[in-house]
Amino acid sequence: MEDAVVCPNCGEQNPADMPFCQHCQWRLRTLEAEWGTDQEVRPSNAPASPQRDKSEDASVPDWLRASRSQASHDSAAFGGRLEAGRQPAAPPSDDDLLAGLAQQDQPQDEEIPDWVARIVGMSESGSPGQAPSSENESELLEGAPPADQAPSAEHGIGQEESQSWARDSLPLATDIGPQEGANRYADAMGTQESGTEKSEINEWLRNLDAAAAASPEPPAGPGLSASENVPTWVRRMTGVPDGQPQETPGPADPVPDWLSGSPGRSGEPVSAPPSSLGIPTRSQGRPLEATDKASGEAPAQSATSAAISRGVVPAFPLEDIQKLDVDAVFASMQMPVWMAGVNPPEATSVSDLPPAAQEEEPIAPADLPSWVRAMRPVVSGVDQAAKLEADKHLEGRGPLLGLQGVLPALPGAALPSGRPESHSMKLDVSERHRAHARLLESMIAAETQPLPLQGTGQFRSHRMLRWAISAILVVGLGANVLTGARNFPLPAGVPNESIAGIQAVESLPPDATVLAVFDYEPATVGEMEATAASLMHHLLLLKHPRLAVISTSPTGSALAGRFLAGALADRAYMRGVHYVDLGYLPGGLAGVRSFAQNPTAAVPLGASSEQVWDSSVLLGTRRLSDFAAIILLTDSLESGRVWIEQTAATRGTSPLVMVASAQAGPMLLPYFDSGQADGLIAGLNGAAGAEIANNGLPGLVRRYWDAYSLGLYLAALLITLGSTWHVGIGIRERRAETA
Amino acid sequence: MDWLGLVLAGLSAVLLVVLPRIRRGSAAKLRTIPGLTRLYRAFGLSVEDGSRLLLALGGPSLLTRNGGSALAGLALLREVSQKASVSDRPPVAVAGDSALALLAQDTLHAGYREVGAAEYYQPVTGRLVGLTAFSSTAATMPILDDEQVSVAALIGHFGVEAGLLSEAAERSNVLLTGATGDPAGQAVLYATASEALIGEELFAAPAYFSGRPIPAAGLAVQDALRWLVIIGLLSAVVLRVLGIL
Amino acid sequence: MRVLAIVLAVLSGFVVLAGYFVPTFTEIQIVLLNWAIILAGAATIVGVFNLILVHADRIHKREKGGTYSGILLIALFAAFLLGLVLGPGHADMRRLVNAVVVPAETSLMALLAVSLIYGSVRLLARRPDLMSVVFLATAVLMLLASATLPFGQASALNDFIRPWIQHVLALGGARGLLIGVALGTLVTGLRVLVGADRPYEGA
Repeated sequence: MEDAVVCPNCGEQNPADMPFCQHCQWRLRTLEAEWGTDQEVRPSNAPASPQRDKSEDASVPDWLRASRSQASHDSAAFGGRLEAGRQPAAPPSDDDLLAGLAQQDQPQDEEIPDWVARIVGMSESGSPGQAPSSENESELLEGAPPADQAPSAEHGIGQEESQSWARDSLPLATDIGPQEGANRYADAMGTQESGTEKSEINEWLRNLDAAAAASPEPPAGPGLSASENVPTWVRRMTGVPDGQPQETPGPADPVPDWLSGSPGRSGEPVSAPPSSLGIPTRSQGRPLEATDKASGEAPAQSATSAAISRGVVPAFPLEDIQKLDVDAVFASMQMPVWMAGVNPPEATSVSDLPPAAQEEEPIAPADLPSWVRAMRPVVSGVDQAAKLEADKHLEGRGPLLGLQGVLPALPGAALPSGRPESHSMKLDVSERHRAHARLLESMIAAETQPLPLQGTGQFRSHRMLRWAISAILVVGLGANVLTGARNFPLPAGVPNESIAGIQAVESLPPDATVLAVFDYEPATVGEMEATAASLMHHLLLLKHPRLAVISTSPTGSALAGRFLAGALADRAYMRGVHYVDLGYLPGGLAGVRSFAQNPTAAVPLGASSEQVWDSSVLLGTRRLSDFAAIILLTDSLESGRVWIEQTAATRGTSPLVMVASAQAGPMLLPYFDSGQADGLIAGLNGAAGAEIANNGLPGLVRRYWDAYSLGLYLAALLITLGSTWHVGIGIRERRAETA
Repeated sequence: MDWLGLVLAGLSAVLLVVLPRIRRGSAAKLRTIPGLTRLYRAFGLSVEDGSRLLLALGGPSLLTRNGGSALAGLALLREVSQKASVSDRPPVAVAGDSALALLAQDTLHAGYREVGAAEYYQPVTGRLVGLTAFSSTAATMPILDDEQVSVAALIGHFGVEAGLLSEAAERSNVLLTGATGDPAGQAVLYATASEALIGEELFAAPAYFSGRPIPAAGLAVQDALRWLVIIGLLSAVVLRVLGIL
Repeated sequence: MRVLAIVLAVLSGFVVLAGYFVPTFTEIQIVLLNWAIILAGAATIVGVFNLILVHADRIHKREKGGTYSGILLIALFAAFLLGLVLGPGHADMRRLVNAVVVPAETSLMALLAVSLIYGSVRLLARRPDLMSVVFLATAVLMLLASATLPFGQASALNDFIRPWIQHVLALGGARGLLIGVALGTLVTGLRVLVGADRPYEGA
């Protein structure tokens, strides 16, 4: 490639128009070459547009304007020196994102920070171990904002404030002539180069130096003293008299520690460690004056030559820097705190000043903003430069790849690694964890397992108990009935209520009309027929009454016919001849009351819808009192109460005899005792007396009595045994619980 | 003695009207009846698990004196229908009398309507199961097993046939609470049922379920009348012993 | 409509009650009672229809016991038709009742006997308290006192103990229960009379 440029850092070829190396981002062209000599060099955060408004020009101080013009001249000279050993720089390509920083001459509205520009210059040295180049050092210088920069927009510092801090912090900045300041600066940076292009800093530094030389020297402030070991240029900036000859800047000497990165050079009296900012303090470092005046041009040239011989193209040759009026430059900078105590150097003679500072019209000292003053390199900065010069180690990994002077990581800090740490995928399980896991598994499994039911055996025994009871009753009672045994005698005593009932029946006139109420359920047919048979048979046998059958139950009529045709079959009572069926009396209590008040209206027709009240059976019977007697056959207390209570007012003197089951008998007894009823046959016990009075006819009581008695005894026995069994089980369980 | 009945009736009516107004805002203090407590809890559980409640009203006609116990059963049915309207299986009311069955249907419908669930009412939930005591009992027994009944309440007039229902309930694992106005039926229920209510505890069921002031006032009137009867009986005994009566 | 039902019910109740005490209302009372009887008879028909509906629904939904519901409906319609044709007093109808109804219910009564004995045997397991012991002891005593012995009868048991328990203890307790039930019936009836309880408040 004809227009290829060999990178001094990595040795790779690059297009000529490339400002930076494509491989290691090393700067291939100087800023002067990129920006041009006619352009003002603005190594600042806000590269100003060359087309400034007139209003902006009016606001710029005169000293700044002069520095700008001087800087432009210097940059042109610097660019010329660079061309001797450098390929023409390739125009910046579009891929170079940082190329715009170098194009200060192009109209740019964006403010490229100076520190970015500096980083770009330093990042060009991508491989470690390379010596810090003057580019890095020059970029450090580039980091100093121009005097005309107004940091108020970015840093919130007003113009007045910037000027005030500059005035307050560095009152001695103007003591140093521009040339002397440039020399000092060049010594501090260690970038001595003969015939180099004038960089931006060289120009503005020279302008400042010239302005400072023209302006009266400010009085010495409470800053640096001549006896202190501070750099000469710093002394000049702060007004400290330069009482010490400047050391010849050379490879072994003039580079400040803060630029070279080394704690100090040989022969350099280092009294104190550099500050964290790399800015030298009053108590630090070697005297600046040892690096500037004595060096003059030759040290600058030697340093620059050395830099070129190393393949480094310093952006700011030392000889150029020495010619600059640094005072004016740094007067506009913000004085850092550590520099507050620096005594201004002693005033120097005009002859000692560099040529730029010997101009008739030096740059008038102005109030530098604080941040500008902060940018002023001092002794420790020189030391820092020297350290950087000595520290040739470049960062080889991580985001700071290629940078020099990177602070080492703290012990124990995580260093970036290209490969993450490997972790074992094996789960660390202890025995305790396993035990807990087993327990949890067992608990979960227990939830799905059905619990065994209890009590099923008890249920089977209940059914067996029922079967056993049924079997005992069926076998025992059935055998007794089938065999016709007569082992159990009838009760000897006859209840009084039974006797009264028998007497009431016997007192009836023959062929009387008797009302028979059949109010019992089909379920109690067996008991009721056996209970009522003897009394009814006695009535029918003795008195031959005409019966009227009625019932408040729908099945009463059928039961009445069954009774008359079954138990009293021998009496041969025929329906329509000997008795009439009045049928079903609805309405319960109301129906009975209605019948009691007016029977013919309540029951106009018979069960078969025949005319009954005009029949021969009920001839002349129209009211309830016309009935000779009322025989009530019931198995419920309610029915008996209803008939007794509802007919009490209307039956007159007609007796009411009740035949009740053993269940209802005791409940109906008070009615007999109170005289509301004339007789009561309750159960087989009561019927036994009636049967005896009837000479044992029809004999149903006798037939059922053995089975009845046996059944009672069996029931009592079963209840006794079962209760005793459960009591014993309960006692045993309680004893087991207490035990 | 008609005037005595008239006085008692009038006094009871006055107390029925006055007591709820006096006790308005204060909870009625009712003694704990274990049978009703267990019934109430079992009823709630049946609603939760979606099983059915069976309420048997017995067989007496409303035209008889045993109709009062049937009315108590209807009052309980009203409360049950309101609370069980959200159940998956609505309560079933069975009766051994036609008029009582119709009133049971009306009561169920009214209960559903009061809670805004009239659309969930089913006419078949109020049934006539028989015209006699044993026939209605025989028809009620299969319901315990076939229709997923978990709670059964016999609130009405039942005779000895209630023993069959108790046994059927035990075989079907149904909690059966019985209350009847028949002494024989009470004896049977005491021996066979899970829970048996004695005497006038039958009429306390609506008050315990609803907590409304009127049923509680009815219980208070009952207590007052009972004390009057006790005093009268004791006085009569004393006077009889003294020869005055 | 609901208010009208309440008014009619309350008014009718007061008239019937007044008929017991005031002779003037006796005639009206009788009329109202007759109407109630007629309505009760009509309610029986409606109840039968309800029974048919319930069992038909069970058959339609093929629920458990649907077969028995079908048999019931067949028997119901058959008996109804026979009654319409022959008449309820006909001998064949009586035979039908005697052949079906009576055996069925007497069987249930026999089953009840077993159930009562079984219940009595398990009473102490279900309710182990003093009252259960007293209950069982009384039951056994009454059972023994109601029967006679083969070799004769215990006169003390039959003539004194049983009558005393039956007429004094049992009857006295039963009367107390009945009085309580009567009072409850009175209060419940009055609640319906004054409109506090409205079981007729349907659709």
